[in-house]
Amino acid sequence: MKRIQKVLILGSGALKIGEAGEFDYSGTQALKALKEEGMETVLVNPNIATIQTSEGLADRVYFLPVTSEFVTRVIEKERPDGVLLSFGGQTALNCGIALHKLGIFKKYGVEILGTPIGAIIDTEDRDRFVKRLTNIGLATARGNIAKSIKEGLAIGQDLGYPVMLRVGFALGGTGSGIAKNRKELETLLIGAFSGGSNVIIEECLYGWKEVEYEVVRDRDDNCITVCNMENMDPVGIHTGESVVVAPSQTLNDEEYYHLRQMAIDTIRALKIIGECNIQFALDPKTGDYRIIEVNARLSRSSALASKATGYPLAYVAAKLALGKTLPLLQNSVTKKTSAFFEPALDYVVVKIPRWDLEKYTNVEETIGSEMKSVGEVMSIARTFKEAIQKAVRMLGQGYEGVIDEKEMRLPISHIRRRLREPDARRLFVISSAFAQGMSVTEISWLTGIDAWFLSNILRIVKTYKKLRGNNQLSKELLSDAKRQGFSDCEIGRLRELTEDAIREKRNKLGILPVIKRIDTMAGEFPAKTNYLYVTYAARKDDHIANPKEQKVIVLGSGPYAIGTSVEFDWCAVNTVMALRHYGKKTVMINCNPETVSTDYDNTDYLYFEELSLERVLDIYDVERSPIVVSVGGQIPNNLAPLLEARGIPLFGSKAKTIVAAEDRRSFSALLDRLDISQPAWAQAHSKMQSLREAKKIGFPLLIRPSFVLSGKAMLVVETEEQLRSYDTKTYSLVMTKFLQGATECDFDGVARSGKIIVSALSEHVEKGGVHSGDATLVLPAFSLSGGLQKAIHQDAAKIVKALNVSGPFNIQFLVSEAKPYVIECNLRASRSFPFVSKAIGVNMITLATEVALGRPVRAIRHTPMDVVAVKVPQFSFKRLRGADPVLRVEMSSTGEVAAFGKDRHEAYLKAILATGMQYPQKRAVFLSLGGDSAKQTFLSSTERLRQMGFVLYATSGTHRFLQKQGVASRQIGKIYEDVHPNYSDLLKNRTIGFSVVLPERFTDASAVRVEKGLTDGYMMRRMSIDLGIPIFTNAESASMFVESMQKYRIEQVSL
Amino acid sequence: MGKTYLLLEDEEIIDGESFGFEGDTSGEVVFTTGMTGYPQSLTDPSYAGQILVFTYPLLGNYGVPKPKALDKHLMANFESERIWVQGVVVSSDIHTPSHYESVQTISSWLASHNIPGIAHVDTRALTQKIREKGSMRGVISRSKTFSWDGKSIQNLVPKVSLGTSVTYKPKDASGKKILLIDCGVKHGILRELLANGYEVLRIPWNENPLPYLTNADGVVCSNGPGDPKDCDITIDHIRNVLDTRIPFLGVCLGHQLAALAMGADTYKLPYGHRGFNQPCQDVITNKSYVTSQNHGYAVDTKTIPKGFREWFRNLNDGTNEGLQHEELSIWSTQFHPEGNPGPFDTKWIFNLFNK
Repeated sequence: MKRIQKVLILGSGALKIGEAGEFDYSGTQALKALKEEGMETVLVNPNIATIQTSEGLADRVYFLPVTSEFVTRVIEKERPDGVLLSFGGQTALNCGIALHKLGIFKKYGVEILGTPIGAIIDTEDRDRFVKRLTNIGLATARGNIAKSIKEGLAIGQDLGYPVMLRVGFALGGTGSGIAKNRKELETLLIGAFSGGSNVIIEECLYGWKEVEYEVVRDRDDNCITVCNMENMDPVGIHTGESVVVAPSQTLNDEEYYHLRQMAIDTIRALKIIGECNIQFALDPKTGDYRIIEVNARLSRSSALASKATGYPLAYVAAKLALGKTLPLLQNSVTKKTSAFFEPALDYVVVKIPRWDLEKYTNVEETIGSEMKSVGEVMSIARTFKEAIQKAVRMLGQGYEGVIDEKEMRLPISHIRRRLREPDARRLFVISSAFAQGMSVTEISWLTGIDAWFLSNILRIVKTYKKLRGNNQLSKELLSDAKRQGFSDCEIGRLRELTEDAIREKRNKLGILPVIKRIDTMAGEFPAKTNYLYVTYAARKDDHIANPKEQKVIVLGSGPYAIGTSVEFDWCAVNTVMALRHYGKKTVMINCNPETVSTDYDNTDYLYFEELSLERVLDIYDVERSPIVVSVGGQIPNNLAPLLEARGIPLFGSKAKTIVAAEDRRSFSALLDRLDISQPAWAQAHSKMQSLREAKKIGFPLLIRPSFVLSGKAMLVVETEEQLRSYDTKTYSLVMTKFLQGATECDFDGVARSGKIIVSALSEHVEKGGVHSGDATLVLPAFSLSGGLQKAIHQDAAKIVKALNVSGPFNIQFLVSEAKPYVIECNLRASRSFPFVSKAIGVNMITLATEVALGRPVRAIRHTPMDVVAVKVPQFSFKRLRGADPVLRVEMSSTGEVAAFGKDRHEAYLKAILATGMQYPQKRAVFLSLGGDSAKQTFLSSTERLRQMGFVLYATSGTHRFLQKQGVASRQIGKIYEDVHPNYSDLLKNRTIGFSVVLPERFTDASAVRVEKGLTDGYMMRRMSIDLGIPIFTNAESASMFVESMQKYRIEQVSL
Repeated sequence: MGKTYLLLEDEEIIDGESFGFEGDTSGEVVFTTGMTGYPQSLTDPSYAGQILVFTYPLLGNYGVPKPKALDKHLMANFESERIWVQGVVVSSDIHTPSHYESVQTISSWLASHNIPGIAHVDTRALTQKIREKGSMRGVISRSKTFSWDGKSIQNLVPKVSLGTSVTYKPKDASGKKILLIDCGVKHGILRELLANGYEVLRIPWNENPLPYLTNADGVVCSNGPGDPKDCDITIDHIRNVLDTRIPFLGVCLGHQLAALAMGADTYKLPYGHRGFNQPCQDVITNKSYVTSQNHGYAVDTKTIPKGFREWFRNLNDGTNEGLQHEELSIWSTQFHPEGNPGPFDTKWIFNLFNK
């Protein structure tokens, strides 16, 4: 074995459903581990918002697509000695397998470190996997591979219904599902064969328990299982969609340790070196088992296991890949004992997924064998009841626990159906079922959830009823409620008292939260870390704050969600780093297990806790330090005024100014005073008022409730009728004149005492009407004149001065007819902070922290950039069956990538490919150009496509338009008219390389929630997604793509 | 559920909720970090005389199964015929267990064996105290006043050893016969010996094994409670057995007794090893194993006599976890190779007699 000195690591790219922030955590830990060993590291990852791509971790970072073409070029240039494939999710693993099959590693002498490639392929190929495990006497689900629909149906017949269908080589099981009969199987098979190649049909284990083990093995064959986890939801619901508990709660010792032994036998047989995740199905009636799946890489579950136990799995896996052995590695928690051990937990961990399905139109809302959730939270407590109630609050969706008053009075028949066909709100449906008198047995039968979990929920419902009753709120009841995880807010609401009143009562009665430490050894050995959680099922604090320490509390982002992604984790981690650099002790509060900010070695004290007012106050009472609310996105931002009202010092921007900037009325008045233009707007509190105001402003209108992030319930309405149908029951409504065809820009910066120190102006490619989180950003701005840019800067400076901003800020501008309008201002780090920081080479978070610390900072006039940076959104529409992939004012992307280039076209081409888009394989394109302005915008691109030799297919309207313009195209039929060839034929026969399907109006999907399948446009867009043909639904980005293709050949772009 | 108290030797009084048997009890307060296996732990004779603190905060999740006997004096799913702990301390006991084998709650099981329990205790704080101050005597009592009687814990082995001899026949006989010295043997050890095809003759702790050796292929000395030095008579017996050079395996207390018989010394650990995650390394092959343990005393590695060598070492604290003879088939392990509860990575040790 040659000496390894330089190692290549492949990242996972943008956050998407099924592959989220957990791989920033695992990659970052791997880089740290390699650095400790003195290795030189090269990272390929286009996700610019990650911590792993930040300065000081990898020696070299390539913001490039994780594809065999680009990685081959990086290998050619960098000549690494070894490569790590298991730290970048399925993306990195698939790329690694492709490179291996192309012989690239062999050609350049790159050693695959850790798990051998053969083992990886064994776990990815169902047939080989089953053979390997059968050889060592382990049971896998009975089943077979089908290569055609006919074969599939024969297998179904053979196994007996119900059967489970899975698609191989896919992240998170796209196209998988359960078929109860032949007809259902046929439907699934048609869908599966349209996407994948490798379709498996298996015996259905629905209702069995799903249990996972995280197993570690070194090259000397030493094996441990770091953790086991039990899915509350039975087999059939993807583990990413399940409530998961650690350790398992309903397994007896024999089951626990027999599954553990089989997990170890499996990792040994597969010869994995490092870490793997093994999923079992366990029959709750007999104890029979099947091995469902092995992931020979770090996974979402392993990130969860790391956070749940305190065992740094990714770090250890990286060390093992370099040839270290477990007994010689140290337990980084105790610093005394060995890494060869199995953590003992003295607490209960609960993970709950976070869904954002309401952000999509037409999406299927049930949950099942495919992953749809966009993030997750993890809670730690000393009872399951406390843990699950905490976890629900951590979701940040306004729930106070497992009971949602809104769901409490659902009709029983409706409840029964929803128990059988679970959706994202299943926990609330279960508690509603209990509230209406259904039994544990019946609910267990309908849901497949073990009675143990349900009994706990029943207990919570009983306490809820007691709290709602007329009895006295005794010490016993209050104390019992707190042990069961009820929040002060909810208890207050049930008693018609304020949260503060309950808090006061509690304090008086001495019912106080207790801080406990996670130490991997259940207290058996003294621990060095300060990995903390808060519980009521205890009496003595593990952690006593040292009042002499100079501390700052940083609030993290909470769960990843649409609009809150890894960029806020980058902001939080960088804040902590800057504070520590200046000698401050840091206290991090966050509850998202997929983050780097929740690595206990990144901060002095980590509270893996709720970002609720109550909990932040609890922690403040102990730590007595100022709080940073401006780097974690909307959840901490919303706490700012609540904290300040209670006299808690904020670190950096003051709550008063935050509110001044975010409150529509006061901010608008401020703009008027400063003589800065803004689109006409009005606030309405009733439907009548809104109709009156609409007449004054004129349509189209952008309407939305106040105080929102990522455009929740934001719509463009074009007619009075549409406005009438808008539901305004909870919020007061803000209506703004919608400026059509306007250019949007983001102005990010840091100010001190009202003066801008650094700023960056990024221009959106898409015209106004597309949420800024879904827009393609170009830095520096490309179409705005120098004069306009100056005007924008001047407006920003005025606002910053008027608000006396000290800290990070983001102002959004629209430019319409060469005039800038201000549309929004937020005094916090924005989504684009990591992007602009990395693009201009100035860490804005460090700067903002220095400002808050009162360090001397001078205004930075960064030199003009010699490269162009382009940020492109990542969508996960493929995961979200039925969702319309059209861009709207509501955000729908799940992540982002960025790339650099000589010009915006080069950067764009790299970035768009980095989202997983396939470079058009066929020189043919389908065009459906709706809307007059969109047609005009895209017209020049049709010329370019012709020049590049593309055949243009179009439906009648577009065909006629092109004909008039003298552009040749081939007309095809409409799907609903059943004329062939139509769009569906083009996709199925893979005739075209990509499609451009522009909606008829920009409000196509947003103004009217169209009935499923109503429009041809929707059908075409959805079909492209389902069949995996690249599609553009926006004229500007489609044009950008065509221009980029014409300008650059893929193999020509710089690295 | 009434109020009850845990009174500790250092005069701390902890209040909690009573569960199990409504009564008072006393014993040495020790903790286990195992997260499962309470039916096995509570029936493990090595816990005789002790009040057991579970660090895992929920006890009784999967209820208690119906006792199943494989044979006379051999349980299939427990480690002996009865509960041996004196009392139980937990954070929460679970009243709503769920498992297809469960027939009762932990509380009713304890009650039927007259074992008191105390819940709502901050078991983590208590564990840390034991870790720092060492295991101590304690009382579970419904009244806060209790006078220590100054009674020291006597030799518990006579209490847990069966008192009569029993022969067990394996299903698939290998033809080998094992003589088992019962100091309070966990039935898991018996099941494992039988699974390896050995016929087992179990004799009481104080019976002279020498007369049986002619009809045995090996001798096993079992686990058991308390201080090994209380079992002089067994130590003498083992010395005689070792002198015959017959293959020998000592487990847990059996390991300590064998060490004393060889001439090594034992000492009391500050708070013992009780849990299923104890990492041990075979210092001869360098292979490491996760082991199940329950002991308060250890063999002093420095005192291992000539002819014997260290076999296993605890990777956490470096204490001795096993011995072997340099030439002869004499082995002993501090941990429980049979698991039950806990992992059985080292189950192969029982097969050594077949080699």
